[in-house]
Amino acid sequence: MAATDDVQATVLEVLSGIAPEIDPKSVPPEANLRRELDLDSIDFQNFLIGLAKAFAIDIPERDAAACATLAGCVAYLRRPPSQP
Amino acid sequence: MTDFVMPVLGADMEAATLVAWHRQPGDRVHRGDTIAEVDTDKGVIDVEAFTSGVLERILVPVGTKVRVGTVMATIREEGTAVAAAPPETGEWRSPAAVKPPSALPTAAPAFAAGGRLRMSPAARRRARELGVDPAQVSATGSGGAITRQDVEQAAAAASTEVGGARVERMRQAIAAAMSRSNREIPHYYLETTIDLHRSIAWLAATNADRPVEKRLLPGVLLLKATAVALRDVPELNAVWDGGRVVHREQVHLGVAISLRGGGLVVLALHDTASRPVDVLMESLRDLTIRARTGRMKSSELADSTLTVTSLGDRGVDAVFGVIYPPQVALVGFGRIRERPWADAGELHVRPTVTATLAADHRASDGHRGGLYLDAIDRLLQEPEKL
Repeated sequence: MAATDDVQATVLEVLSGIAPEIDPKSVPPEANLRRELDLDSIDFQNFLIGLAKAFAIDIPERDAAACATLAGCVAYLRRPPSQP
Repeated sequence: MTDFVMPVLGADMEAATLVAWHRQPGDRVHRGDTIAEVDTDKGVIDVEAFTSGVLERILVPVGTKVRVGTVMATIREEGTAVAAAPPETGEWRSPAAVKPPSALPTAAPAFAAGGRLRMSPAARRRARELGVDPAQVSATGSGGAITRQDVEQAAAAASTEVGGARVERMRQAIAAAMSRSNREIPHYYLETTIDLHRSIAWLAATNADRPVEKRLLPGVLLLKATAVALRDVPELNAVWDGGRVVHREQVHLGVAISLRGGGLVVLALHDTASRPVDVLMESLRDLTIRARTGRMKSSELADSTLTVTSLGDRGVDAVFGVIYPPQVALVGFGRIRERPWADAGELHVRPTVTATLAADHRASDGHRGGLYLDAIDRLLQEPEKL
């Protein structure tokens, strides 16, 4: 399993692809990403698709809420995905 | 022979700067191919051919600011006679007969001077693509040669403009288009709230087993219903042109997409009524990414027949829009929220959305507008058929 820092760096890289103007260092870990970065539902889906690609996993619908914050994403991606 | 003109790029864009030609005289072009690339305040736009044939002459050099409607090149369509002297024979195609690029009237002055600048063919080609004058590029290659990187750096430096200035110009253009709309179009407004519980339940069931890249968002059902409902009230799928309504056969919904730096762009989701929702979802995602990263196609800016604005993600319940000229109607959706809902004498809590119509009273009447919103409602009660 990758170190937390690596996971976080990858998450922020994916996020930068969706919202190129953000400063990755300034994203508060506990803030709701959609609200904080003004992402609409399509942006957020593109973000999840980016994560799924980068980590070679699927993020099922029931797990999408776990990725609402930066800290949530990192915690989720460090755990194996939930079983159906 | 057909003129290749700078297409209409929406009511709020009058001109664009040509940054590259993707085809050269003598090249075959097909309808839909990207022939040129222009830069605008909203981003880079690939200008597509609207006819097939052979690119005959280029009339506008890279770096020129081109107004909408300007003839940029000529295309000889299949089966038509050659207009100019060079015949369509083997010799015309042979290298000896083809004029070197430096002699073309389209080339920047630095190329006409030719040969004296030290640069690789790749760097020279890149400079032409990016519209960079090699004489202005500082060389870092061995023996003072200009490298491809030097050219790209010079292009980047030239295009780096204070972001605020670009947004300010976009603001001015939107201001002009929207003021004109409000001044000239007698708007009327209608509103209805739609029960979405069937649509939301269908989406949940459909998405449960799908990987993230195949999942559908509620917005795509709203768009599809908005497009299909136009079959009942076709006069809303039209443009106002020269004092009369001109009906449009195909439905290309314009999707209003807010740009991250400020401002917005309306891009056409082509054939919205006839394509399956899965395909529309993919196109919608692709459109959004390209709008945000500033890489659009001219047809997407030019083709939309009725615009949809969806401000639901921004937390408002309803949006009463300003029509995007020359269209004659605009549909708005607010956020999807649960509300108490009375149905057949019983009270439920249901997911609902408020749909609004802003329509041009010159082109339609409130009665027809009401039928239209009702048709959208009915379609959303049978999401599996959309």
